[in-house]
Amino acid sequence: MSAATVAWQWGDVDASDHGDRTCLTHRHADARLWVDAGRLVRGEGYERADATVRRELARVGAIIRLRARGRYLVHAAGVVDPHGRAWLLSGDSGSGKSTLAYALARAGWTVLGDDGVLIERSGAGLTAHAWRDPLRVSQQLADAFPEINDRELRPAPGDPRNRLALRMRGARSAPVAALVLIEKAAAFSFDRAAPLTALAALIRQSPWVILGDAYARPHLDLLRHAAAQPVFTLGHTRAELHSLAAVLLGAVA
Amino acid sequence: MITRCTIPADVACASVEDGTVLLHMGTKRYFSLNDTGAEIWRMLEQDVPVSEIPARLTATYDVPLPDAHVAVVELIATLAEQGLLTIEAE
Repeated sequence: MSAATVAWQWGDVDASDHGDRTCLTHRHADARLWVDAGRLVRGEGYERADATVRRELARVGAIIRLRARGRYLVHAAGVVDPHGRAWLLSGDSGSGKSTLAYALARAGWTVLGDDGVLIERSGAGLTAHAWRDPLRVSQQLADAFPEINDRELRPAPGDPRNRLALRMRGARSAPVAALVLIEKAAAFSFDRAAPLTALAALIRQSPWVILGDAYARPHLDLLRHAAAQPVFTLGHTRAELHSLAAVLLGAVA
Repeated sequence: MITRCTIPADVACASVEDGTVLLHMGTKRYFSLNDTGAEIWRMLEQDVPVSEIPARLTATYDVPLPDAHVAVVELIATLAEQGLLTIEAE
């Protein structure tokens, strides 16, 4: 038996359980927002917080509220291939989600999300819905993607990864072709993932499943359903940035 | 000797073909069981007496009865330690 602690955080927002209520606290602003019976309730410091802090709290509140509608956020970039099928690129921060999504967007794929995608059961399959954020691609990738230097963009102040926010052609929703569990690696690998590996990875990347509310069990069941879809593991290097589309399209008929 | 195990209400599980994941809503931790562990968990869910589980395992897996007994006791102890089971013993 193996164990792992589930992180209760999304960006700069920490979530804590209080029975059927969830308290969202912004780490840098001492501002709180409560999710109570599906409603967002302003807490201590919320009114005084600036617009960015309030927006970040409200987005996490929305992640929790959407569970009531059967839509669950997964920490993944989402892209739609030329056949209209969604691919979810899931992994920890720094695993290359945005970079690979941008590489695919350059090849004509459309974008559902950079750091999160909503998934919903649809019969035997799964539908992915957009969770809009600009793609954030490291400036250090200019050697692979020379055009990002032409856009006169600047990294966000204080971003240690020097990422540029790029607006790409977006998609609203699409049936899911496959999930890809990605990580940076010394050598390329692309394999089918075992269902248990896939389920554990999805729980890690959708930590709201552990909220002790009425939607925890439906959320877990949705992740189990997602793990039963085609799931692959991808160890990637810079060498695949211009051939990834062919690799993925060759994996699913 | 363990006589009965109960699964707490704040534990949820999801099974796939090669194992099971257990979520503990109270401790905010999750656990993976391989296929043998998942089979033991299924029997606990079905309220199979703990004393019968090793023999049932030997019918499915190529494992000697003493080894099956040790595996069952060790898994139950680990699950109980993590709050995933409550144990009644005599």
